[in-house]
Amino acid sequence: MKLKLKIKDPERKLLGNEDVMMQAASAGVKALLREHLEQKHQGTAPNRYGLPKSNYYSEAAKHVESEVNGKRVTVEVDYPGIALHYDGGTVYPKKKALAVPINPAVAGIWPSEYGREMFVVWPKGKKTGLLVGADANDEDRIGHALYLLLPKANIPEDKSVLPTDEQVLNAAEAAIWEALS
Amino acid sequence: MKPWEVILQRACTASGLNSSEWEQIAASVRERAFFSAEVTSTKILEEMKANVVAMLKDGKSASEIRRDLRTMLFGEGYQPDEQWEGTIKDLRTKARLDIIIKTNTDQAKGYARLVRDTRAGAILAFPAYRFVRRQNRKAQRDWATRWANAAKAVNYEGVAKNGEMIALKTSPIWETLSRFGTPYLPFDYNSGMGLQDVKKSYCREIGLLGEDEQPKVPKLPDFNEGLKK
Repeated sequence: MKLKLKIKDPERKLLGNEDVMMQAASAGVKALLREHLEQKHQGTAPNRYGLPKSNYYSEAAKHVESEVNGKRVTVEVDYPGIALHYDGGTVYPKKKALAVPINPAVAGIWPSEYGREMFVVWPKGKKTGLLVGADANDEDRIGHALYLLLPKANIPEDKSVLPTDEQVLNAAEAAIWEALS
Repeated sequence: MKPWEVILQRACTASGLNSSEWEQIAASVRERAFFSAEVTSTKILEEMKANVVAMLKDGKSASEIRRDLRTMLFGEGYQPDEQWEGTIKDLRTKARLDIIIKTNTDQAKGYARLVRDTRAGAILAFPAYRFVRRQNRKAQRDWATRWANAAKAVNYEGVAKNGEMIALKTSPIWETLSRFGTPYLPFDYNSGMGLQDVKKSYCREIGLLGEDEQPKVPKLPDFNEGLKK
């Protein structure tokens, strides 16, 4: 998903080469966005299932890109899930259920990659189920709950994923003045 | 240039060279090659490259890529030496595939970032980078010593002398610091280190630029410059 921040025309009349000033504004907003996402990464709590950190926001910071087109600067974070976290929403499975790794042995590994036998435990009337390891040759995982099965997942809105519009405009303006100085 | 375009421009280069031997090859050659240590099959490299592009361009997940590459390796009859089965020399392992995916995607993003960060407006506002830790690692390399050694090696050209790991984007320290000999992220495998833009006023404050000095705007060579037809 792409979440775009559009900056339309900085407040002040540009004194120098307009393309160069637009590049400066773009650089200022990108720097702000990267630092904002890295700060968010620093603030994330450990995974509640004891899985290794995925460094989600820090990885997202590497995907900040920009484009200058005349008087328009577009800065975007082209990273899966960013828009969903920002706006909130519900994730539905493509097949029968969402599978969330809850065992470090399958951290970052989707069931389609896992490739070994598992069986489903889903008591009647319960909202969630489990995928349990069933490969007799896999001592570390046989009998262990590997994935939590969910019919859907509600992701709450989190506007702190991105800086505020005011911060963005200030960053663009400050970068232009740095370039002009 | 988008990161996935950087990968597309790389030519699949099959060879029996191990990673140490690859590091002896000039950086300018390695940058244009899509390779993996001791992978002698162009077909395998082409599939790996296509998947890395799919990750960068379409958001294909690492898990799907590993699954698809293992299926491909099985189809190609790939079998590692018995002594290397299950190790990082085994192309089927998560560790090996993750190194291939991460190193190539990070290099593509690093190069694309440097291109944009060294455009005139960007350099005039932010002429330098600060080298910072972004992600923790269980075993952290001694970057402070590596930085100090690299700074001495380039005679502090474009390098801050106030003890901070800051250097102009055009400083040769970046290539010297890098295990890969390239002036952009990443500077080593899975290092967890990153770059922070440093504004011009701060560069002047710490003496990296003179009071009225403007940073030079570099001309990054065309990707294929220097290649003989």
